[in-house]
This record gives sequence, structure tokens and C-alpha cells, in this order.
Amino acid sequence: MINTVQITWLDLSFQSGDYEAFPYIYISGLTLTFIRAAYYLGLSYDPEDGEGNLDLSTNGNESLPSRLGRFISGKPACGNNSTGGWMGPSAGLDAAGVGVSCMYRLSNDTSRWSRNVGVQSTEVVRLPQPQYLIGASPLCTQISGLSPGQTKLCQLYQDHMSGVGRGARAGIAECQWQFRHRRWNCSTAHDSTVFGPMLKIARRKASTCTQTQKNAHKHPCPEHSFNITWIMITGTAALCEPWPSSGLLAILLYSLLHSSSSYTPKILMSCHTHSSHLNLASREAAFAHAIGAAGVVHAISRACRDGQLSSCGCSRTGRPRDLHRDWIWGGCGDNLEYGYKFTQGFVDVREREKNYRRGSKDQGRSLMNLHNNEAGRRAVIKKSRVTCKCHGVSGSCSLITCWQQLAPFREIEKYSILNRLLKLDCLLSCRILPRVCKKLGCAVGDDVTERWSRGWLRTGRLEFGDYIKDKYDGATEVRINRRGRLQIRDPRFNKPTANDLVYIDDSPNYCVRNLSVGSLGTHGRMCNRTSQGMDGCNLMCCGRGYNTQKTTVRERCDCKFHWCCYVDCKICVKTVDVHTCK
Amino acid sequence: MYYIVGFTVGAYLCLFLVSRLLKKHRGPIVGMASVAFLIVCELCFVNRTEWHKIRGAQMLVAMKVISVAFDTDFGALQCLPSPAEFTGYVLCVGTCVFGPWVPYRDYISIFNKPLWVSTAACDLYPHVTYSFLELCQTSLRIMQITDRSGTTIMHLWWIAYRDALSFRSSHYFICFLSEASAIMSGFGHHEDEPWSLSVARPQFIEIPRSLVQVVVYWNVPMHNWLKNYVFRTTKPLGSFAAILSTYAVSSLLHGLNFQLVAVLLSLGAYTYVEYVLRQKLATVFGACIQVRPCRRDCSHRNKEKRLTVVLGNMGLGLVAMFHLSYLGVMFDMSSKLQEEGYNYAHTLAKWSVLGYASHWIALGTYIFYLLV
Repeated sequence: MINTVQITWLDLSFQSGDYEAFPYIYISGLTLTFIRAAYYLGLSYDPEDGEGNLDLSTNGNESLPSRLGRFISGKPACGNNSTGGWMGPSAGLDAAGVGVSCMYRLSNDTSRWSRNVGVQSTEVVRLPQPQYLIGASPLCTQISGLSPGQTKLCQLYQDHMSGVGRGARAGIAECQWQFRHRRWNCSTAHDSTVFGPMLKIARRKASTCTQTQKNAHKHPCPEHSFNITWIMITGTAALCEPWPSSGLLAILLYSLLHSSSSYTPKILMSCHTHSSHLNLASREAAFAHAIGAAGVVHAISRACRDGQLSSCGCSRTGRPRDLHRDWIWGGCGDNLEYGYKFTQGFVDVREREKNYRRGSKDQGRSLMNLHNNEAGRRAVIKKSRVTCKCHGVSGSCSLITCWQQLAPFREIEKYSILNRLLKLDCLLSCRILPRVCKKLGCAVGDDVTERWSRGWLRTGRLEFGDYIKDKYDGATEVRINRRGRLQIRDPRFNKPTANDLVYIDDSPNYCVRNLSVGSLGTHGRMCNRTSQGMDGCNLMCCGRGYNTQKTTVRERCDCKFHWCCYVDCKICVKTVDVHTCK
Repeated sequence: MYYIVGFTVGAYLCLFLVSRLLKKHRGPIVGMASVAFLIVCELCFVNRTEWHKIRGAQMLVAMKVISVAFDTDFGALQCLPSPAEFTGYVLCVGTCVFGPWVPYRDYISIFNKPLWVSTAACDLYPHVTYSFLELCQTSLRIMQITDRSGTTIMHLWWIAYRDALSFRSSHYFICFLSEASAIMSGFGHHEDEPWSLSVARPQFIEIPRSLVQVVVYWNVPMHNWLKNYVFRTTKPLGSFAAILSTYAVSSLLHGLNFQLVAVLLSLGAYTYVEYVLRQKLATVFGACIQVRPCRRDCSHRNKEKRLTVVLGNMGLGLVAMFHLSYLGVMFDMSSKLQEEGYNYAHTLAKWSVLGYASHWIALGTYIFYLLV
């Protein structure tokens, strides 16, 4: 069974590696398929017909159903002279396409690919052949930090792990975005248990791994040379079934490019960070758990709808009651129930499998985690909504199809093509027009995606991130009582519902560095001198004051678009003041 | 809906009056009256969302009414149909909602020929068309899955192509649905080949030879209607005026929707430029690269099967695909607008993202034609 490969909608800095190659491969596969379809459906010029009318049903003596049947099955079979001439060139095209794409990857700095951290989908294609061919690495044993129950679930649901990783990464990214202006900025570099196992699955290694380790796995192509050879043999051997082979080759190639990152976990895990344990059950921990669970629900629901997971499909929810009477309910919605159930099973098992003494602090922390995970999952469900598409004669709305959809990323509505080009020319030009690359101030293989992805080009954030942040602000303090239940500390305040966040300990002082409570301090953080909020130098630096440095910033300015299709910019060198806390 | 029934009744009265009083020029007068009715309804009486739902049906009623008027003018119909026949034709169940426009004589012929003779053939074709329905729906869904958050030029155009493709898939879905409903009502029975009624041919639109072909095969009955009733009527005024009036009538029938009007007028301009350019190139090079495939006995030196001609046609076809993506890009799923009809700002915003590239290229093509 072949799972559909996908581009995810996540933050570009994580996924831009596979992202760029995919359109090229997809387009080439699609073009090949179209060419074959055109040939099979007999779009050759028929001299018998006076008008040159290329009518399906009258070309030759073949009736429409048998022609369609031929098209779908991918015949004509080998040995048929009329079409035999096409087989060789088309299969050769496939193999050539594979070779070209491999060269393309080799020629670029492949350290960029190594940023696909964490778990990727390794079993993209399940073939009857032995599984060692396409990176089916024993994933679950490689990820450290999974509890025993989670490891068992991981073995059972291996294909779900990439979704879990994606979701956890999305949650962490959202957390860092929400707290970017505050003293605690959700930095993951130095604590490993705030996020629990999700951090392990989704660890970003850029902050702690050294350059040598990053370069340690260049050139994935030669390592896959055995697989490439196998593909080429298959491609040329599939002369008789060209129709599935081009799509198959496109998908296989993509999975190769995609699964190069399956090599990273080995090196990743050796590149371990400090493990200072944050046992403080603060609001920040509550938020982190909630957003992590929410991210995982989102990712798994999406993956179900996209057909990546074998054990679930489209949503089977009933029609919502508030839907307009005349509309049809159907389509393929995000499978929220499955996402919710799976996340509940996977994330909560860590808390449930341990037995703590009744009334102890550990039990309190465990119950708090369970509550906050549930709050995160519910946030996703609350934020999903019904989306519709109109059909009708020339775009009118005679027929409308609606389905349930997760809250999408917010899209940037206003942009002009010049701005797009400005932000993107490093990627585009360094790949296609290297001579323009230097002019733009980027070197080939430069990690510019990091730089601009942190800027305004970030395409959106999870809408329920705002909702959970709101819950964080209104979190309730609880404590564990002797009977082993969570109890609200101050009975005057409202009891927290299942949608609210709870916490046990007060937040520590994030001003000073104290690794035992997980505070990194604000020394060295950038602050904004003119701001009155938490990111102002007054509050951020906790009254310690700030240092001002002059840095030279090289920016592109005076950019002009030349037809066609590059942007020529001058480099303006500006000195700006950067304020960092003492 | 009351507007559709009211339109039918009003149109019949108008036709009747003109027949009694004037006995000629029935076609143009009824045409103008219908368009006036549509515009007045849209502007004054009807809620925008409601109008957007019945826009298609109103257009079909208008087309049927105008076709009857012109047919009585031309003499194809000896006398005006009786009210029962007229209402039955205009409000025929199988062709009322999405349905293809069918000429009045086809409607009458379904009563002359027995429907239930070749039930086997009858079973086959709706089945085939419904399978195309599923195909179109799924391609629509697949296209929605891919990522929207891209920023390269390539990716912008990929998104444009994807949005346009989803719009086209939705259109094929509607066309095949209408074809199936028409066949089940008994239309489409011919003497030589049974039960075929082609409304849209996706293979000629997705892999186009030229934009002219796209326009023809987008909705074959509507193309026939425009050709017979508008183009032939205005041909004496000159070919450019005829083409312009064809597109103008088409946009008027679609209603006062800036987006549709913009797309249709752009299409008109592109098809004109493409037609004349390819005509000129065909005479210059003596090659079969006209907008329609050449007949067998054409006088060109380089026939269809030569490699250079095939490559030339493919290149021009790719340009047509590019124009199609550009024109279809705005029919996306931004929720509120799609139920009301997209407006002026939305259209221009979408086109400005792509830099109005297609319009510039068409202009460049026209200048090239003038120079060659």
C-alpha cells in the first residue's frame, strides 16, 4: 500500500528541505502521466475524420469502455507493436528523471537536509520486497525518552510517529512564538522534561549540536546508491506497466529524499543536551503540555485525512445540527475523533502507567499533566470548524459541499510579488542562478531559511495557540489533597473545567539563572528599548540594565526585479543598536 | 424558485406579444428583455446569496427563451409553441438546474422517439458519467491538500494552477452531473450513435491545443448556442464585432459579476489574439499550427505529424495552460465570498499577486502578431 506523500503546512525552517524538491518531482511525474494518458486515449490525429474531430468514441473501432479499461489498467501489454515504440523512451525518461534528481541533490549542500530533525516517515512505501531497501529503521528504540507504554504503542503504530513528531514540533514552535517576548521563552535547549517525551521526539538539534556533527552526514545520495540502482532496474523492468511506474517512481524518489533524514536520529541522539529536570509544575509546564498535545492531535487528524495512516481515514462524524437544511454533508474532513483518541492513548499513557503514592507530589504532577493534556486536545476540537466549497455553473453556488476542518494557519493576505522575490531569492537563485546568489549576499548552502523564516515570512500560526495562551493566562492553582485528588487552592475562585489549565507550583523567577528550577535567566536576551511591554528592556532585564552593542546589519535594499526572473539588490550596510540584558 | 417561474412566464408573454404585434425581430427584442430582467432582478430584488445560487438556472432559462425566439425568427419553428410546450421545455426537469442547454427540437424529439428501447445503452452512459463525477470530486479534494505556504515564483504558479484546476474540476463535476440528468430525461438520442450528449470534454481542456479549443469544449451546448444565435446574427457587422458581442452576451447572461466578466473578456481578447497569430504563423511557415486541428486536405506544407509542428503545438498549448491557471486562480475557497460571488477587489488582488503576467504576455503576443 502506498501512502500519499505530503508537504506539511508547518514552519518552513523545519521542513524546507523536502519542500523544494517536491514540486519538481511531482510536476515531472504528472507530466509523464499526462503524456501517457494523452497517448492512450488516442489523441493522435485521425485522418479519417473530416473535421479533425478527436472524438473518443469513434477513433478506430474501439468502444469507449474498453478504451477506458485499457487506460486504467495501464496496458497495452508488451509486444503490441502500435504502442511498443513508446515504452522504451518513457521508461527511459523515468530512469533519467531519477538520475537527474539525484544529481540535483548531490550538487547542493546537503547539510540543509539534515535539519529535518526527529522522526520522519520511514515506511512510505510498503512493498513486498524486503524492508531493508527503503529506510525502515527500528525507530522506536532509537528515540530515547519514551516511556515503556509509549514504546509499545510506538511499535504498534510506527507510521503514526512521524505525525506525532510533526505535531510536537509544531507545538513547540507555537510555544516559542507565543512567549517570544517574555522572560521565559519556551526555550528547549536545556530542559528535557517540560515537554516530556515529545521533546525527545521533536528535538531541534541546531541549538546544541556542533558543526562537525551537522556535516557528518552529507551526501545521502551515495548511501542510497543501492536503492537508486534498484529503482532504475525496476523502472526499466516495468516496461510493460508504465502507468503505475511513473507515479511509483516519483513517490519512491520523494521517499528517498524524504527518508534521508532517517539517518539523523542516530547522530541526533548522540548530540544530547543537558538534562536538567524541570520538576516544577508551573503554568509554563501546563502550557507546554497543552500545546504539545494540541499539536499532536492536529497532526494526526490531518495525517488521517491525507491518507498517510493505514488505520484511519476520513472523518465519519454526523452532520452538525447548525448546518443549513439544504446542504449536503460529505467530503473528507479531518478525522478529529481518531486524532483525539490516539493522542489520548499515546500522551497520557506515560502518566497512567506509573503508580504513585496517593497524595504525593508526583501524583499531583501526574494528574496535572493529564488535565492539561486534555485541555490541549479539547482546544483543537473547539477550534475546528465547518468549511465549504461551492459548485455550480460558472462558479455559482448551486451546490455546496461542506466538511469539518481543523483551524488553518493564518495566511498572510497582503503580499506583492516583489516582496516575495526579495525574501526568497536566496533559495531560488542559489539553486537555479548561482551567479545572482553572491550579489544577494547569500552563499550557496547558506542557512537563510532560518533567518527569514523567523521574520515576517512566517506564514501563520496555530489559531488554537492563541486560545491556549488565553487559558494559560487564566490558569488555576490547585494542590493535591490527601485523598489523591486535585483540589483548588483558593475556594473563592471558579473550579477549573476540563478546558482550563491547572498548575501546582508558582512560577519561579525567570530573571535569574537557576537550572534546578529550569530557569535560564534573561542574561543575554535581546530586548526592545522602546517597548513598554514584557519585552521592553526594563521588564525583560528585571531592572539589571542592558548593554548596547553596535552591529552591522547587511540588508538587501533597492531591489529591482528583472525580467525574467531574478531580483537584483544592492547591499545596504547599516549599523544598528542591539540591546541585550546584563 | 419564484424568480425562475416568473422569468418563464414573463418571457412567454413578451414573445407572444412581439409575435402578434411585430412578427419579426423577435430574437433581439426577447434577448434584450431577458438580459434586462436578469440585471434588474440581480440589482434590485434578490439577495446576493440567493441570486448566486440560482444564477446558473436563470442563465439557462434565458438561453432557452432566446433560442425559441430566434428559432421562430429564422423559421426553424413554424409557429410559436403553446404555453404548455414552452413551459415544459424551459422548465424541463433534466435540464433545469445545471442542465445543458438543449434546442427546442431536441425536446420535442424525446416524445417522438421511444425512450426505453435500448435500456442497456441507457444504463451504460450514466454510469460512465457518474464515475467521472467521482473522479472530478476526488481530484478537487487532492488538490486542496497541498501546502499553501509557499513563496517561490514556482510555488505561486503551482498554487495558481492548483486553484484553477480545482475550479475546473468543480466545473467538470457539474457538467457531468448535468449530462447524466439530461440523458436520464431522454435527451441525447441520435440516429447513428445512441445516447451521447457531450457537455464538457476535460481532455481537451487539460491538455489544450489552444485557448479557442478550451472555450469550445468548456461547455459544448453553450458554445453551440452562442455560435448559432449570437455570432451568426452579428457576423454582418464584422468578425471582431461578432466575437466581441459573443463574449459580451455571454458575460451579460452570467450576471453582473465582475470576476466572471473580467475572465470572459480576458478570454475573448486572448482567443482573438491567439487565433489571428496562429493563422498568420500558419501561412508564414506553411505549418498546421492553427487553433483547430487541420483537416486532412489542408494546403500546408508541414502537416500535423511532423515533429516541429507537434512541438510548436505543444508549446502553444503550454502557453494556453498558463493562461488558464491565471484566469482560474481566483475561484478559491475563501468562504464568505464564494457564496455571494467574488467581487472586484478579490479578483484584482489575486491577479496582482501574479503580477498580471498573463495580461502582459497576451499584450506582447498581440504586438508580436502586429510585427510579424
